Amino acid sequence: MKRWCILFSILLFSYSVVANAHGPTRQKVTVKQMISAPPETVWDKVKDFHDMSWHPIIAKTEGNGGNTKGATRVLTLVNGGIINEELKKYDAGKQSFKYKINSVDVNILPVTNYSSTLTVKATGDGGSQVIWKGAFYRGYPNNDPPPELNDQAAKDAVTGVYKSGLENLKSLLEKGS
Amino acid sequence: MSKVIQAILCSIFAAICSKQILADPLAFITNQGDDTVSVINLKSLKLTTTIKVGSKPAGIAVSKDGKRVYVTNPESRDVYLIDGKTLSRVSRQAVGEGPLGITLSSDDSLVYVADWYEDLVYVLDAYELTTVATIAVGSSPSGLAVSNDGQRLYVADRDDNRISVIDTEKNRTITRIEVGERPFGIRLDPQDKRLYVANVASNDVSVIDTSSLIVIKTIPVGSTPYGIAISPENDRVFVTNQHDNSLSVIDPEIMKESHRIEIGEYPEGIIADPTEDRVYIANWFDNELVVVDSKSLKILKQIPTGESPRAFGTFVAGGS
Repeated sequence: MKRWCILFSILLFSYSVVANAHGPTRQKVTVKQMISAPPETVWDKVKDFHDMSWHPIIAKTEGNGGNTKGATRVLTLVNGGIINEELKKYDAGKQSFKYKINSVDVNILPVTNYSSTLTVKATGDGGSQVIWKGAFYRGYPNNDPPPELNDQAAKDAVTGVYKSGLENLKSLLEKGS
Repeated sequence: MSKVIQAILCSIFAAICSKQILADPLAFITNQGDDTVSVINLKSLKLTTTIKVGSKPAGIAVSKDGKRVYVTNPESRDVYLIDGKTLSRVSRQAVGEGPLGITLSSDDSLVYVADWYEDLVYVLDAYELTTVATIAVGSSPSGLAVSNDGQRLYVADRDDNRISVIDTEKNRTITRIEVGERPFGIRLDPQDKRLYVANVASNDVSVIDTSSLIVIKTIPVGSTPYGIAISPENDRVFVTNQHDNSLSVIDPEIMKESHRIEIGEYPEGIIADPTEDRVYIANWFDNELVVVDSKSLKILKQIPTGESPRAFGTFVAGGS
Protein backbone atom coordinates (compact mmCIF):
# COMPACT_ATOMS: atom_id res chain seq x y z
CA MET A 1 0.00 0.00 0.00
CA LYS A 2 2.70 2.38 1.07
CA ARG A 3 4.74 1.57 -2.01
CA TRP A 4 1.74 2.33 -4.22
CA CYS A 5 1.30 5.64 -2.44
CA ILE A 6 4.90 6.59 -3.09
CA LEU A 7 4.68 5.52 -6.72
CA PHE A 8 1.45 7.41 -7.15
CA SER A 9 2.99 10.54 -5.63
CA ILE A 10 5.94 10.31 -7.98
CA LEU A 11 3.58 9.94 -10.94
CA LEU A 12 1.55 12.92 -9.79
CA PHE A 13 4.69 14.94 -9.32
CA SER A 14 5.98 14.21 -12.83
CA TYR A 15 2.54 15.04 -14.22
CA SER A 16 2.53 18.44 -12.55
CA VAL A 17 6.02 19.20 -13.82
CA VAL A 18 5.01 18.43 -17.40
CA ALA A 19 1.69 20.30 -17.31
CA ASN A 20 2.84 23.61 -15.88
CA ALA A 21 1.81 27.20 -16.56
CA HIS A 22 -1.84 26.93 -15.70
CA GLY A 23 -3.57 30.24 -16.22
CA PRO A 24 -2.05 33.69 -15.97
CA THR A 25 -1.06 35.55 -12.82
CA ARG A 26 -0.72 39.30 -12.44
CA GLN A 27 2.72 40.70 -13.19
CA LYS A 28 4.37 43.93 -12.08
CA VAL A 29 7.08 46.28 -13.29
CA THR A 30 8.70 49.28 -11.58
CA VAL A 31 11.15 51.60 -13.33
CA LYS A 32 12.78 54.51 -11.50
CA GLN A 33 14.65 57.39 -13.09
CA MET A 34 16.73 60.06 -11.38
CA ILE A 35 16.53 63.47 -13.06
CA SER A 36 18.68 66.51 -12.24
CA ALA A 37 15.80 68.96 -12.22
CA PRO A 38 13.49 70.21 -9.43
CA PRO A 39 10.46 67.96 -8.81
CA GLU A 40 8.08 70.84 -9.68
CA THR A 41 9.68 71.16 -13.11
CA VAL A 42 9.50 67.42 -13.72
CA TRP A 43 5.88 67.22 -12.53
CA ASP A 44 5.02 70.15 -14.75
CA LYS A 45 6.20 68.18 -17.76
CA VAL A 46 4.21 65.00 -17.03
CA LYS A 47 1.19 66.17 -15.04
CA ASP A 48 -1.19 66.81 -17.92
CA PHE A 49 -3.03 63.56 -18.66
CA HIS A 50 -3.74 64.84 -22.15
CA ASP A 51 -0.15 65.58 -23.06
CA MET A 52 2.20 62.66 -23.32
CA SER A 53 4.46 64.34 -25.84
CA TRP A 54 7.41 63.71 -23.51
CA HIS A 55 7.35 60.05 -24.50
CA PRO A 56 9.16 59.28 -27.78
CA ILE A 57 6.77 56.49 -28.84
CA ILE A 58 3.68 58.72 -28.54
CA ALA A 59 2.82 60.66 -31.69
CA LYS A 60 -0.46 62.18 -30.51
CA THR A 61 -2.57 62.45 -27.34
CA GLU A 62 -6.28 63.26 -27.56
CA GLY A 63 -8.99 63.07 -24.97
CA ASN A 64 -11.27 64.84 -22.61
CA GLY A 65 -12.07 65.20 -18.94
CA GLY A 66 -8.96 67.10 -17.86
CA ASN A 67 -6.96 65.88 -14.89
CA THR A 68 -9.90 64.43 -13.03
CA LYS A 69 -10.85 60.85 -12.32
CA GLY A 70 -12.69 59.31 -15.24
CA ALA A 71 -10.91 61.44 -17.88
CA THR A 72 -10.02 59.50 -21.00
CA ARG A 73 -7.27 59.76 -23.57
CA VAL A 74 -6.40 58.11 -26.84
CA LEU A 75 -2.71 57.63 -27.45
CA THR A 76 -1.57 57.28 -31.04
CA LEU A 77 1.84 55.68 -31.24
CA VAL A 78 4.48 56.59 -33.79
CA ASN A 79 3.95 53.16 -35.35
CA GLY A 80 0.23 53.90 -35.75
CA GLY A 81 -0.99 51.80 -32.82
CA ILE A 82 -3.78 53.09 -30.60
CA ILE A 83 -4.12 52.84 -26.80
CA ASN A 84 -7.29 53.92 -24.96
CA GLU A 85 -6.70 54.97 -21.36
CA GLU A 86 -8.66 56.27 -18.39
CA LEU A 87 -7.52 58.32 -15.42
CA LYS A 88 -8.28 56.52 -12.16
CA LYS A 89 -6.68 58.71 -9.54
CA TYR A 90 -5.03 62.12 -9.55
CA ASP A 91 -3.16 63.66 -6.63
CA ALA A 92 -1.37 66.91 -7.50
CA GLY A 93 -0.17 67.28 -3.90
CA LYS A 94 1.63 63.97 -4.05
CA GLN A 95 2.60 64.56 -7.68
CA SER A 96 1.13 61.25 -8.69
CA PHE A 97 -1.58 59.85 -10.93
CA LYS A 98 -2.92 56.46 -11.77
CA TYR A 99 -4.55 55.30 -14.98
CA LYS A 100 -5.57 52.14 -16.73
CA ILE A 101 -5.74 50.88 -20.28
CA ASN A 102 -9.33 50.43 -21.41
CA SER A 103 -8.40 48.84 -24.69
CA VAL A 104 -5.29 48.00 -26.66
CA ASP A 105 -4.46 45.43 -29.31
CA VAL A 106 -2.13 42.82 -27.79
CA ASN A 107 -0.03 43.08 -30.93
CA ILE A 108 0.67 46.72 -29.96
CA LEU A 109 1.26 46.10 -26.25
CA PRO A 110 1.01 42.45 -25.13
CA VAL A 111 -0.90 43.05 -21.88
CA THR A 112 -4.43 42.84 -20.52
CA ASN A 113 -6.01 44.39 -17.43
CA TYR A 114 -3.21 46.96 -17.24
CA SER A 115 -3.02 49.78 -14.71
CA SER A 116 -0.17 52.12 -13.97
CA THR A 117 1.02 54.88 -11.64
CA LEU A 118 3.42 57.72 -12.40
CA THR A 119 4.90 59.59 -9.43
CA VAL A 120 7.46 62.38 -9.13
CA LYS A 121 9.37 62.54 -5.86
CA ALA A 122 11.93 64.97 -4.52
CA THR A 123 15.40 63.67 -3.80
CA GLY A 124 17.52 65.16 -1.01
CA ASP A 125 19.79 67.09 -3.38
CA GLY A 126 17.12 69.20 -5.10
CA GLY A 127 16.67 66.73 -7.93
CA SER A 128 13.85 64.32 -8.70
CA GLN A 129 13.08 60.70 -8.96
CA VAL A 130 10.30 59.55 -11.28
CA ILE A 131 8.71 56.23 -10.42
CA TRP A 132 6.59 54.45 -13.01
CA LYS A 133 4.80 51.31 -11.89
CA GLY A 134 2.56 48.95 -13.79
CA ALA A 135 0.45 45.92 -12.91
CA PHE A 136 -1.03 43.77 -15.66
CA TYR A 137 -1.69 40.31 -17.01
CA ARG A 138 -0.01 38.89 -20.09
CA GLY A 139 -1.60 39.30 -23.49
CA TYR A 140 -2.72 35.66 -23.78
CA PRO A 141 -5.42 34.82 -21.27
CA ASN A 142 -5.32 31.03 -21.54
CA ASN A 143 -2.76 28.31 -20.98
CA ASP A 144 0.32 27.74 -23.10
CA PRO A 145 0.77 31.28 -24.43
CA PRO A 146 2.83 31.81 -27.58
CA PRO A 147 6.22 33.32 -26.67
CA GLU A 148 5.24 36.81 -27.87
CA LEU A 149 2.25 36.85 -25.49
CA ASN A 150 3.68 35.21 -22.34
CA ASP A 151 4.47 36.76 -18.94
CA GLN A 152 8.03 37.63 -19.89
CA ALA A 153 6.95 39.28 -23.15
CA ALA A 154 4.47 41.43 -21.22
CA LYS A 155 7.07 42.46 -18.64
CA ASP A 156 9.69 43.17 -21.29
CA ALA A 157 7.29 45.31 -23.32
CA VAL A 158 6.15 47.39 -20.33
CA THR A 159 9.71 47.78 -19.07
CA GLY A 160 10.73 48.97 -22.54
CA VAL A 161 7.96 51.58 -22.66
CA TYR A 162 8.82 52.89 -19.19
CA LYS A 163 12.57 53.01 -19.77
CA SER A 164 12.42 54.75 -23.14
CA GLY A 165 9.88 57.24 -21.79
CA LEU A 166 11.78 58.11 -18.63
CA GLU A 167 15.14 58.32 -20.39
CA ASN A 168 13.65 60.74 -22.89
CA LEU A 169 12.05 62.74 -20.08
CA LYS A 170 15.43 62.97 -18.39
CA SER A 171 17.18 64.20 -21.51
CA LEU A 172 14.41 66.72 -22.25
CA LEU A 173 14.55 68.19 -18.74
CA GLU A 174 18.28 68.10 -18.24
CA LYS A 175 18.69 69.91 -21.55
CA GLY A 176 16.37 72.51 -20.08
CA SER A 177 13.76 72.42 -22.81
CA MET B 1 31.07 24.94 38.40
CA SER B 2 29.71 28.31 37.37
CA LYS B 3 30.05 27.20 33.76
CA VAL B 4 27.78 24.22 34.45
CA ILE B 5 25.18 26.44 36.10
CA GLN B 6 25.45 28.85 33.22
CA ALA B 7 24.90 26.02 30.76
CA ILE B 8 21.87 24.77 32.69
CA LEU B 9 20.40 28.26 32.91
CA CYS B 10 21.03 28.77 29.24
CA SER B 11 19.27 25.58 28.26
CA ILE B 12 16.30 26.36 30.51
CA PHE B 13 16.13 29.84 29.06
CA ALA B 14 16.33 28.45 25.53
CA ALA B 15 13.56 25.96 26.29
CA ILE B 16 11.31 28.71 27.65
CA CYS B 17 12.10 30.92 24.71
CA SER B 18 11.42 28.29 22.06
CA LYS B 19 8.17 27.33 23.76
CA GLN B 20 7.21 30.99 23.84
CA ILE B 21 7.97 31.42 20.18
CA LEU B 22 5.99 28.33 19.26
CA ALA B 23 3.01 29.59 21.21
CA ASP B 24 2.97 32.98 19.52
CA PRO B 25 0.23 33.58 16.94
CA LEU B 26 1.42 33.49 13.34
CA ALA B 27 0.31 34.87 9.98
CA PHE B 28 0.82 32.76 6.86
CA ILE B 29 1.22 34.84 3.70
CA THR B 30 1.12 33.19 0.27
CA ASN B 31 3.62 34.84 -2.08
CA GLN B 32 2.48 34.21 -5.63
CA GLY B 33 5.62 35.66 -7.21
CA ASP B 34 8.19 33.38 -5.58
CA ASP B 35 6.21 30.25 -4.66
CA THR B 36 6.63 30.65 -0.91
CA VAL B 37 4.72 31.30 2.30
CA SER B 38 6.07 33.98 4.65
CA VAL B 39 5.43 33.07 8.28
CA ILE B 40 5.15 36.19 10.42
CA ASN B 41 5.17 36.18 14.22
CA LEU B 42 2.29 38.42 15.30
CA LYS B 43 3.77 39.09 18.72
CA SER B 44 7.18 40.32 17.60
CA LEU B 45 5.80 41.42 14.19
CA LYS B 46 8.82 39.88 12.51
CA LEU B 47 9.36 37.27 9.83
CA THR B 48 9.82 33.85 11.46
CA THR B 49 10.61 31.82 8.37
CA THR B 50 9.81 31.30 4.70
CA ILE B 51 8.39 28.00 3.47
CA LYS B 52 8.70 26.78 -0.13
CA VAL B 53 5.33 25.64 -1.51
CA GLY B 54 3.84 24.76 -4.93
CA SER B 55 3.53 26.96 -7.98
CA LYS B 56 1.81 30.40 -7.75
CA PRO B 57 0.33 29.94 -4.25
CA ALA B 58 -2.78 32.02 -3.57
CA GLY B 59 -5.34 30.57 -1.13
CA ILE B 60 -4.69 29.96 2.54
CA ALA B 61 -6.60 28.46 5.48
CA VAL B 62 -5.50 27.84 9.08
CA SER B 63 -7.21 25.54 11.60
CA LYS B 64 -8.55 27.26 14.71
CA ASP B 65 -5.86 25.71 16.91
CA GLY B 66 -3.20 26.93 14.48
CA LYS B 67 -1.78 23.43 14.07
CA ARG B 68 -2.66 22.95 10.42
CA VAL B 69 -2.11 25.32 7.52
CA TYR B 70 -3.45 24.72 4.00
CA VAL B 71 -2.17 26.39 0.85
CA THR B 72 -3.64 26.24 -2.66
CA ASN B 73 -1.23 26.35 -5.59
CA PRO B 74 -3.28 27.08 -8.74
CA GLU B 75 -0.44 26.52 -11.18
CA SER B 76 0.90 23.23 -9.79
CA ARG B 77 -2.76 22.33 -9.11
CA ASP B 78 -2.30 21.07 -5.61
CA VAL B 79 -2.93 21.73 -1.95
CA TYR B 80 -0.14 21.74 0.63
CA LEU B 81 -0.67 20.85 4.26
CA ILE B 82 1.87 22.55 6.53
CA ASP B 83 2.39 21.81 10.21
CA GLY B 84 1.64 25.08 12.00
CA LYS B 85 4.12 24.29 14.77
CA THR B 86 7.15 22.79 13.01
CA LEU B 87 6.41 24.99 9.96
CA SER B 88 7.31 22.19 7.58
CA ARG B 89 5.28 20.46 4.90
CA VAL B 90 3.27 17.44 5.97
CA SER B 91 1.78 16.45 2.63
CA ARG B 92 0.83 17.52 -0.84
CA GLN B 93 -2.26 16.55 -2.78
CA ALA B 94 -3.17 17.19 -6.39
CA VAL B 95 -6.60 18.88 -6.52
CA GLY B 96 -8.49 19.79 -9.69
CA GLU B 97 -7.43 22.13 -12.46
CA GLY B 98 -6.99 25.42 -10.61
CA PRO B 99 -7.45 25.30 -6.83
CA LEU B 100 -7.82 28.83 -5.46
CA GLY B 101 -10.23 29.66 -2.61
CA ILE B 102 -9.91 27.45 0.46
CA THR B 103 -11.55 27.20 3.87
CA LEU B 104 -12.07 24.69 6.66
CA SER B 105 -15.34 23.27 7.95
CA SER B 106 -16.43 24.68 11.32
CA ASP B 107 -15.03 21.63 13.16
CA ASP B 108 -11.81 21.77 11.12
CA SER B 109 -12.30 18.21 9.87
CA LEU B 110 -12.90 19.06 6.20
CA VAL B 111 -11.28 21.39 3.71
CA TYR B 112 -13.29 23.07 0.97
CA VAL B 113 -11.33 24.02 -2.14
CA ALA B 114 -12.81 26.09 -4.97
CA ASP B 115 -11.57 25.07 -8.41
CA TRP B 116 -11.47 28.15 -10.60
CA TYR B 117 -11.45 26.18 -13.86
CA GLU B 118 -13.71 23.22 -13.16
CA ASP B 119 -16.48 25.22 -11.42
CA LEU B 120 -16.38 22.77 -8.55
CA VAL B 121 -15.79 22.83 -4.84
CA TYR B 122 -13.72 19.88 -3.66
CA VAL B 123 -14.45 18.58 -0.18
CA LEU B 124 -11.29 17.05 1.27
CA ASP B 125 -10.57 15.15 4.44
CA ALA B 126 -8.54 17.71 6.40
CA TYR B 127 -5.91 15.18 7.52
CA GLU B 128 -5.57 12.81 4.56
CA LEU B 129 -6.44 15.40 1.89
CA THR B 130 -8.45 12.74 0.09
CA THR B 131 -11.50 13.93 -1.85
CA VAL B 132 -14.68 13.11 0.06
CA ALA B 133 -17.07 14.83 -2.35
CA THR B 134 -17.31 17.44 -5.08
CA ILE B 135 -19.99 20.11 -5.35
CA ALA B 136 -20.94 21.71 -8.66
CA VAL B 137 -21.09 25.50 -8.33
CA GLY B 138 -21.18 28.51 -10.67
CA SER B 139 -18.51 29.91 -12.93
CA SER B 140 -15.00 30.64 -11.56
CA PRO B 141 -15.64 30.03 -7.85
CA SER B 142 -13.27 32.02 -5.64
CA GLY B 143 -14.03 33.11 -2.05
CA LEU B 144 -15.50 30.62 0.44
CA ALA B 145 -17.09 30.95 3.88
CA VAL B 146 -18.56 28.39 6.29
CA SER B 147 -21.15 29.19 8.97
CA ASN B 148 -20.29 28.65 12.65
CA ASP B 149 -22.72 25.74 12.88
CA GLY B 150 -21.04 24.20 9.87
CA GLN B 151 -24.30 23.69 7.98
CA ARG B 152 -23.76 26.19 5.22
CA LEU B 153 -21.01 26.92 2.76
CA TYR B 154 -21.08 30.14 0.76
CA VAL B 155 -19.20 30.31 -2.56
CA ALA B 156 -18.49 33.44 -4.63
CA ASP B 157 -19.13 32.42 -8.25
CA ARG B 158 -17.04 35.21 -9.70
CA ASP B 159 -18.00 35.02 -13.36
CA ASP B 160 -21.71 34.43 -12.64
CA ASN B 161 -22.04 37.44 -10.32
CA ARG B 162 -23.66 35.17 -7.75
CA ILE B 163 -23.17 33.53 -4.38
CA SER B 164 -23.94 29.82 -4.19
CA VAL B 165 -25.36 28.73 -0.85
CA ILE B 166 -24.55 25.08 -0.13
CA ASP B 167 -26.14 22.68 2.33
CA THR B 168 -23.01 20.98 3.70
CA GLU B 169 -24.84 17.87 4.84
CA LYS B 170 -26.10 17.03 1.35
CA ASN B 171 -23.31 18.95 -0.42
CA ARG B 172 -25.99 20.49 -2.60
CA THR B 173 -26.86 24.05 -3.61
CA ILE B 174 -29.82 25.52 -1.72
CA THR B 175 -29.98 28.73 -3.70
CA ARG B 176 -27.90 31.19 -5.68
CA ILE B 177 -27.97 34.88 -4.84
CA GLU B 178 -27.38 37.63 -7.38
CA VAL B 179 -24.76 40.12 -6.11
CA GLY B 180 -22.57 42.84 -7.70
CA GLU B 181 -20.14 42.28 -10.55
CA ARG B 182 -17.32 39.75 -10.12
CA PRO B 183 -17.68 38.79 -6.45
CA PHE B 184 -14.35 37.58 -5.04
CA GLY B 185 -13.56 37.77 -1.31
CA ILE B 186 -16.41 36.99 1.09
CA ARG B 187 -16.74 36.81 4.86
CA LEU B 188 -19.43 36.06 7.45
CA ASP B 189 -19.75 38.29 10.49
CA PRO B 190 -18.93 36.60 13.84
CA GLN B 191 -22.62 35.92 14.55
CA ASP B 192 -23.27 34.53 11.05
CA LYS B 193 -26.00 37.12 10.57
CA ARG B 194 -24.58 38.66 7.44
CA LEU B 195 -22.33 37.70 4.58
CA TYR B 196 -20.22 40.52 3.09
CA VAL B 197 -19.19 40.15 -0.55
CA ALA B 198 -16.45 42.20 -2.28
CA ASN B 199 -17.46 42.85 -5.91
CA VAL B 200 -14.26 43.51 -7.86
CA ALA B 201 -15.85 44.96 -11.00
CA SER B 202 -18.71 47.03 -9.54
CA ASN B 203 -16.58 48.60 -6.78
CA ASP B 204 -19.02 47.75 -4.01
CA VAL B 205 -19.84 45.32 -1.23
CA SER B 206 -23.05 43.29 -1.22
CA VAL B 207 -24.49 42.58 2.22
CA ILE B 208 -26.53 39.39 2.41
CA ASP B 209 -28.88 38.65 5.29
CA THR B 210 -28.20 34.98 6.03
CA SER B 211 -31.68 34.17 7.31
CA SER B 212 -33.64 35.56 4.35
CA LEU B 213 -30.74 35.00 1.91
CA ILE B 214 -31.34 38.31 0.17
CA VAL B 215 -29.06 41.26 -0.49
CA ILE B 216 -30.12 43.91 2.02
CA LYS B 217 -27.62 46.55 0.97
CA THR B 218 -24.98 47.37 -1.63
CA ILE B 219 -22.26 49.61 -0.23
CA PRO B 220 -19.97 51.59 -2.57
CA VAL B 221 -16.26 51.28 -1.67
CA GLY B 222 -12.95 52.02 -3.43
CA SER B 223 -11.83 50.68 -6.80
CA THR B 224 -11.63 46.88 -7.27
CA PRO B 225 -12.38 45.57 -3.77
CA TYR B 226 -10.76 42.21 -3.12
CA GLY B 227 -10.95 40.95 0.46
CA ILE B 228 -13.02 41.46 3.59
CA ALA B 229 -12.20 41.31 7.31
CA ILE B 230 -14.57 41.86 10.22
CA SER B 231 -13.59 42.86 13.76
CA PRO B 232 -14.38 40.19 16.37
CA GLU B 233 -16.73 42.71 18.05
CA ASN B 234 -18.52 43.08 14.69
CA ASP B 235 -18.29 46.87 14.88
CA ARG B 236 -16.16 47.36 11.79
CA VAL B 237 -15.93 45.74 8.38
CA PHE B 238 -12.70 46.26 6.44
CA VAL B 239 -12.33 46.04 2.67
CA THR B 240 -9.11 46.11 0.62
CA ASN B 241 -9.42 48.18 -2.57
CA GLN B 242 -6.72 46.94 -4.95
CA HIS B 243 -6.68 49.74 -7.51
CA ASP B 244 -7.40 52.47 -4.99
CA ASN B 245 -4.47 51.47 -2.73
CA SER B 246 -6.84 51.92 0.18
CA LEU B 247 -8.69 50.28 3.01
CA SER B 248 -12.43 50.98 3.28
CA VAL B 249 -13.95 50.81 6.74
CA ILE B 250 -17.67 50.07 6.89
CA ASP B 251 -19.87 50.72 9.89
CA PRO B 252 -22.16 47.64 9.94
CA GLU B 253 -24.76 49.51 12.00
CA ILE B 254 -25.55 51.98 9.23
CA MET B 255 -24.05 49.88 6.41
CA LYS B 256 -21.98 52.75 5.05
CA GLU B 257 -18.31 53.44 4.48
CA SER B 258 -17.17 55.44 7.50
CA HIS B 259 -13.45 55.82 6.69
CA ARG B 260 -11.05 55.25 3.88
CA ILE B 261 -7.32 55.17 4.53
CA GLU B 262 -4.27 54.92 2.27
CA ILE B 263 -2.71 51.54 2.84
CA GLY B 264 -0.09 50.83 0.17
CA GLU B 265 -0.23 49.44 -3.33
CA TYR B 266 -2.58 46.68 -4.35
CA PRO B 267 -3.89 45.61 -0.96
CA GLU B 268 -5.35 42.11 -1.21
CA GLY B 269 -5.64 39.46 1.54
CA ILE B 270 -6.96 40.84 4.82
CA ILE B 271 -7.85 39.47 8.25
CA ALA B 272 -8.77 40.79 11.69
CA ASP B 273 -6.83 39.51 14.71
CA PRO B 274 -9.04 37.40 17.03
CA THR B 275 -7.76 39.08 20.21
CA GLU B 276 -5.75 42.22 19.40
CA ASP B 277 -7.31 45.37 17.89
CA ARG B 278 -5.56 44.84 14.61
CA VAL B 279 -6.09 44.04 10.96
CA TYR B 280 -3.40 42.59 8.73
CA ILE B 281 -3.24 43.38 5.02
CA ALA B 282 -1.03 41.88 2.31
CA ASN B 283 0.05 44.55 -0.19
CA TRP B 284 0.65 42.75 -3.45
CA PHE B 285 2.70 45.45 -5.18
CA ASP B 286 4.73 46.53 -2.15
CA ASN B 287 5.60 43.01 -0.91
CA GLU B 288 4.61 43.70 2.66
CA LEU B 289 2.17 42.83 5.40
CA VAL B 290 0.69 45.99 6.86
CA VAL B 291 -0.44 45.96 10.48
CA VAL B 292 -3.26 48.45 11.16
CA ASP B 293 -4.73 49.42 14.52
CA SER B 294 -8.39 48.60 13.98
CA LYS B 295 -9.54 51.31 16.42
CA SER B 296 -7.30 54.29 15.55
CA LEU B 297 -6.83 53.11 11.93
CA LYS B 298 -3.14 53.99 12.19
CA ILE B 299 -0.54 51.89 10.40
CA LEU B 300 1.52 50.23 13.15
CA LYS B 301 4.03 48.36 11.04
CA GLN B 302 4.97 47.25 7.53
CA ILE B 303 6.62 43.84 7.51
CA PRO B 304 8.44 42.66 4.36
CA THR B 305 7.08 39.46 2.76
CA GLY B 306 8.08 37.44 -0.28
CA GLU B 307 7.28 38.50 -3.84
CA SER B 308 3.67 39.47 -4.69
CA PRO B 309 1.78 38.38 -1.54
CA ARG B 310 -1.92 37.52 -1.98
CA ALA B 311 -2.89 35.78 1.28
CA PHE B 312 -6.37 34.98 0.01
CA GLY B 313 -8.28 33.48 2.93
CA THR B 314 -8.11 33.16 6.70
CA PHE B 315 -4.36 33.44 7.12
CA VAL B 316 -4.35 33.80 10.93
CA ALA B 317 -5.79 31.12 13.23
CA GLY B 318 -9.17 32.25 14.56
CA GLY B 319 -9.06 35.44 12.47
CA SER B 320 -12.20 37.00 11.04
